Amino acid sequence: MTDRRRINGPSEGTTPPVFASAVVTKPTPTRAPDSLRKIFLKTSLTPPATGSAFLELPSPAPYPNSSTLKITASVYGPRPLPSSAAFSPHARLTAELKFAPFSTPHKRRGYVRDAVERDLSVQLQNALVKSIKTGAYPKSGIDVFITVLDCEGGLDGDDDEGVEVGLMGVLAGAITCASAAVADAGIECVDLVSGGVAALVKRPQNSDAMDTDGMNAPMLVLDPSPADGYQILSAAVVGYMAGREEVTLLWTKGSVGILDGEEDELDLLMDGAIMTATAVRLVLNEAVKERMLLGLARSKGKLKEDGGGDVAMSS
Amino acid sequence: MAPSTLTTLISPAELSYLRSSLALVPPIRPDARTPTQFRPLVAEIDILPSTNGSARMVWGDGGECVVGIKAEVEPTEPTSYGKRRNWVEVGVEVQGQRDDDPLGVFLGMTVGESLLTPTSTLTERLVITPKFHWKLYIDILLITPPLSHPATLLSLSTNLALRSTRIPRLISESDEDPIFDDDWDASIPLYSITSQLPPITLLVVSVEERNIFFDPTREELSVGDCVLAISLASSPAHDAPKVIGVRTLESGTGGIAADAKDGVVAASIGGVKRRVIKRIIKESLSVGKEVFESLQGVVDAN
Repeated sequence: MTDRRRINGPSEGTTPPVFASAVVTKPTPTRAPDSLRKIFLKTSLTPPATGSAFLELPSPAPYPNSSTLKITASVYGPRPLPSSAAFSPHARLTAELKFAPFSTPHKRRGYVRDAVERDLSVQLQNALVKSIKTGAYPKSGIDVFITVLDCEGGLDGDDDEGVEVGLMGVLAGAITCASAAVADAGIECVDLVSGGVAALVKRPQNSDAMDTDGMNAPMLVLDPSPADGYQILSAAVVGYMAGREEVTLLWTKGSVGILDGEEDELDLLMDGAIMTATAVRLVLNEAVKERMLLGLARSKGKLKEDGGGDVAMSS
Repeated sequence: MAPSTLTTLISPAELSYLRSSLALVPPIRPDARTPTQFRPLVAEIDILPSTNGSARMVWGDGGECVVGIKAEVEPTEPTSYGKRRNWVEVGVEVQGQRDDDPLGVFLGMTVGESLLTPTSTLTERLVITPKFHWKLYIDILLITPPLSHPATLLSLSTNLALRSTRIPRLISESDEDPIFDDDWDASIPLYSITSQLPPITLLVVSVEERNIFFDPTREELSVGDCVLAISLASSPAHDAPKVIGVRTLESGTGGIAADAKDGVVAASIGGVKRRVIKRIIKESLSVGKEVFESLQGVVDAN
């Protein structure tokens, strides 16, 4: 006897309807593959820190208020290590990279550092420590704090559609910004480190390149952004000291072809990343120079003030 | 500069001696190995009965690594189709170290990243039906606190464990809920011999541009100019493995920077030229091929 007072559901169960998401058309890149984005870099913006810097990339052209990369770095130190710490004949550098909770476009990030942030912190530390004369600061610690205020999105990691460059862009920006902050703090360095990203992408279908041989070969893109919508086959980020022509950090993702003796994909990628880093270095130089000139002007002004017997800091 | 793995307790004089002997042509390593020679190790697979695949590896210095892989059926969400990176979860536990230690994070990221590159075929293997997939849990346990950097040990054990992983055979149709064969003997290996193999990661250190060392000890790491972790993927169809990822590790202690005058170049200051990096990566390809062959030997022996 069936229960006639109830309306039973179907015996085998149902699945709730799931609507396929609307087909998202990937944006078409507006920049030329070898053109770089402009960088805004300014030092000494965080007063309590010994040195600090702020880096920002412009928003992509058609959307003036869309998300870009914004990074602040502050450097504290060299300051004495706590008395509980073991003796260290050289300065200990610690770098801490943190995404602000509001930095990602969709999902809010927690305050507790996750694995991605720790990983980037370690890589940043490795890239920076080679440029600092740690031997000049025994028994002291140098702390570098990086906060990513806004990132271009695309921190979801690699998927079947290709390698993801969002994190690499963040790391490259963080290296440049942190190096400017270290210089601003007046810490002795052998050279400045700048970060650069390059990627090999699948050539778009109706590309300008007419040669049929080159159609299948991947195309090199300098300074790629996740918003460009390329299908990325492999990507590399370098930390580069342009003055000494030395690499302090290399991180590649995606399979890279290597041939004997010839110009291969690895060369192409590394060349591209180094080219980007060298161009970024010019911005870094300007930012550091601007700060130095400002410092000179100030100290001159102060001398004059001292000469006049009017000392502003007397109280 | 604080990871606990690299704080060596040897004096600047010893570091200087070690570095100059590694910089010789031909170099002399403290344990008399050739530059490309690995330390002896013991490996076995299929050791844990309650896993889909497992492996254990013991290094000569006492470093021991156990990897267990478990697979669970999980419904595939149609909205997030294509985002397959959540299908594999890597957990690294280093005995005697806190969970938030940077070493464990680095190891987990390296393994996860090399498994999930777009060219790796792992996620395609995990598809059961259009609506269901296997979720793979790779749990890595480093039992002894490692005396040397455990990246190589860990990646080789993970490779062996993945190659011993078997998943039950599907007996239902592709549009039904999946039902599997109870017979474990009928299960299918995740990686068959003819297909692309899981990746490995090699640790390589360079000293003085000329010399490149594989499987470095902790002391060798602390005097190196550049330490790279190179992930390689291989398939029997192609002879040479392919590079699928490179990461830079911390190198040098900074301690020998002070006495740079008497011939010991400050290992902690400055990076390396790019031709050195190129050479390291190239050399790792030929060594990687040998490593893949020896791993095949382990699998064949079981």
